[in-house]
Amino acid sequence: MDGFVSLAHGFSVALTAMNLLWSVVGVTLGTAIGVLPGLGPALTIALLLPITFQVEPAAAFILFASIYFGAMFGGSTTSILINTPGESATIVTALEGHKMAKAGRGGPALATAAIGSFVAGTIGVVGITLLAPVIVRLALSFAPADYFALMVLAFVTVSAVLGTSVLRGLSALAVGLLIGLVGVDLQTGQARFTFGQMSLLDGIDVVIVCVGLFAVGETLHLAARYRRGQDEIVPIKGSLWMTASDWARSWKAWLRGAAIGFPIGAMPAGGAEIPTFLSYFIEKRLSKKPEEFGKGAIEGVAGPEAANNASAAGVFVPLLTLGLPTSATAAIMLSAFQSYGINPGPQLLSSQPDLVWGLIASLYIGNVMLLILNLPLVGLWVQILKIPAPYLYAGILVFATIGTYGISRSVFDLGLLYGIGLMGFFMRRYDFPTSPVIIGMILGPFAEQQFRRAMTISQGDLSVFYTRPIAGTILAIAALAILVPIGLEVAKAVRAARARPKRTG
Amino acid sequence: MLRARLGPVVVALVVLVTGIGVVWATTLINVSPAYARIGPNVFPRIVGGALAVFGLLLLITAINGRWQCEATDPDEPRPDLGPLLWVGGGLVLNLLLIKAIGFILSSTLMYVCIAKGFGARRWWLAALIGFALALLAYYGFARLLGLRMGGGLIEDLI
Repeated sequence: MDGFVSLAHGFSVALTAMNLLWSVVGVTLGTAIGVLPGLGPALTIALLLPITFQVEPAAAFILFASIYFGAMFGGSTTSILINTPGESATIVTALEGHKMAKAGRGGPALATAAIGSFVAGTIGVVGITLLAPVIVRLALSFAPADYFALMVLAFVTVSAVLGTSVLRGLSALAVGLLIGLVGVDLQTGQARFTFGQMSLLDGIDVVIVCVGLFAVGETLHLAARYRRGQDEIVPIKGSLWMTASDWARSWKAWLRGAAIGFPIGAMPAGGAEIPTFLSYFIEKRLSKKPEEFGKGAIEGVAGPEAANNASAAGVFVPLLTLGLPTSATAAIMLSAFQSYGINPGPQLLSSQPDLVWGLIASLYIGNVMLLILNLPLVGLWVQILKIPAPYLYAGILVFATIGTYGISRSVFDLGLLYGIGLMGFFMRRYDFPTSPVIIGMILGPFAEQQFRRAMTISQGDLSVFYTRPIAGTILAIAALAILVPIGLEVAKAVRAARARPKRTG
Repeated sequence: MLRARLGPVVVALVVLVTGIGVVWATTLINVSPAYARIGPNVFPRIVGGALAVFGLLLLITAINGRWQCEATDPDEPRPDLGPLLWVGGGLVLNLLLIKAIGFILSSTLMYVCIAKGFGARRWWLAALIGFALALLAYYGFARLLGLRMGGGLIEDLI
C-alpha cells in the first residue's frame, strides 16, 4: 500500500490554493476545447507549452492533465448534442447518445456520460496508484533493448492497429519519425536533414507540428467542406436527472467500462478506440433490451464513456513509469517533461514524487471538479457551440500563429507551420491518421537513442533484440500486430479480386 | 473513376519520392569512422527505406482503387475552392507581412480573410474582432508567458 501513502502526499501537493486554481483553469479550458468540434487537448497543451518556462513543473502538469480530462468531458457533450465526435474514441458515444438526445433524453445521456466518466476516472486513478509502483519495479530490470522493443510496440499499435489502414498509419508514423530526426544528432553532434538551415539545427518544434496538423490542417479541411453547412445542435429537453431505471442500467455499464478501459489504456500499446468499441459490444450483448441499441440505449453511452475515461487515466501509467506516450496528448506531455529537463522513466516516481503524485492526485480532484462544473453548467457549455464559425476558426488561426511565431519570431517557422498544416489537410482528405506523426516525432529520438545504446552494449550484434526474453517477446507481439491486419487486408483484397469479374458496372 | 484514383496515386508517389529522397539525403550526413557501425545515418536510412516501401505499397493500393477516403468518396462533394483560397490566401498574406507590419496588424488581416472564407458578411466586424483578439493574444503571450513578440506598427505604439 506504498502507493496510497504517496498518493496522500500527492493530495497535499495538489490541494494547495495555487494548484487548485490551475486545476480549475485546466478543467474549464479543457471542457471548452472539448466542446468545440475539431479542437483537442493535444493542440491546446501544445499551444500552452511555453508555460513550462514560467511555472514550476507540478503546476504545469496539473494544468495539462486537467485540460486532458476536461476535453474528454466536453467531447462527450458535443458527441451527444451535435453528433460530431471530436475524436475517434467518442464515436460510440455519438452513436447512442445522439439518438437519446433526439428522443428528448439528452439530459440523462449527458448525466450518465458525466457520472460514468467520474466513476471510471476514479477507478482509473486508483488503478494508477496501485499499478505504477509495480511497473516501476519491473521496469528497473529493463535494458535499452527492451525499451526499444517497447517503443516499437507502441509505434505499431498506435499507427497500424487503430486506424482504417495499416499502411497509411505506418506511413504517418514514418513521417513523424522523419520530422523527429531533423536537427543535430545528440550522440555525434552531426546535423541531419537541416539542408544548411540554421533554424532546423535545433530540430522542428513539436508545437509547430502539433498546431500545424491539428489547427491549421483542420481549419483548411473545414474550409474545403464549407458548403456542407453547420451541424444542428439538439436542444436539451426535459430533466437532466436520470430516472431510477437509468441508474439501474448505467452503474454496471460504468464499472464494466472502467474494467475494460483501464487495463487497455495502461498497456504500452494504448488507444482509447479499442476499449470504447469493446465496451459497446459487451453492453449490447449483456443488455436486457438489445433492441434499443442503435436507437438510444443508455448502456451504450454509459459503458463506452467510462471505458474512454478509464483508458485515458491508464495512459498515464506507461507515460510516468516508462516514458512511453501512447496518445498524441501524452506525447505532448512527454515533450513538456523534456522542456523541464525531466526524463520520465522508472526513476521518476522516486526522483520527482511531488510532481508525479501531485499529478495523479490532481486527476482525482479534476474528476470531482468536472462533475460539479459540467452537469449543472451544460447549458452554458452548449452556448460555446453557437460561436459563428467564421470568427471561431479565424480566431484559432490567430492563436496558432502566435503560438508559433511567439516562440521563435521566425518567419521560417511560421511557413513551416502553414506547410505542415497543408500536409495535415491532405492527410485528412486521404485518411491518414495524424496522431502517429506526433508520437513518432517525439518518441522517435528516444527510440533511436535506446537502439544505439543497445547496439553499443552488444557491440553491434543485432541478436540482442531477440535473445533477450523481454525484448524478443515484445517485438514478436509487435510483428504480429502488423502482420495480422495486413494478412486480413490481403485476404480481403484477394477475395475482392476473385469477386470482381462477377460484378458489372 | 479516374478522379478516384489520380489523387491517391499522386499521394503515394509523394510518399515514395520522399522516402527515396530521405535515403539519398542520408549520404550527406557525415559519419566519423568511430561510429561506422551504428552511426547517425542508420536510423534515418531505416526511416527513409520504410517510407519508400510504404509509398510503393500505397501506390499499389491506389492503382487498384482500394483507397477509401474522403477524397475518393463519390458521395462526397468536391472541395470548396473559394473558402479554401480565402483561408490559404490569409495564411500567405500573414507570412509575407508579419515581419514588416508586426503580428497584430498582419494577423488582423489574416483574420478577415479567414472569416470571409467561412462566410462572414461584415468584413469590418471581422476586422474589429480580429484586431481585439490579436491584441489580446499578443498581450497574453508577450506579457504573461514572457515571449518576445517583436515590434510592428501597432506594437510600437503600446
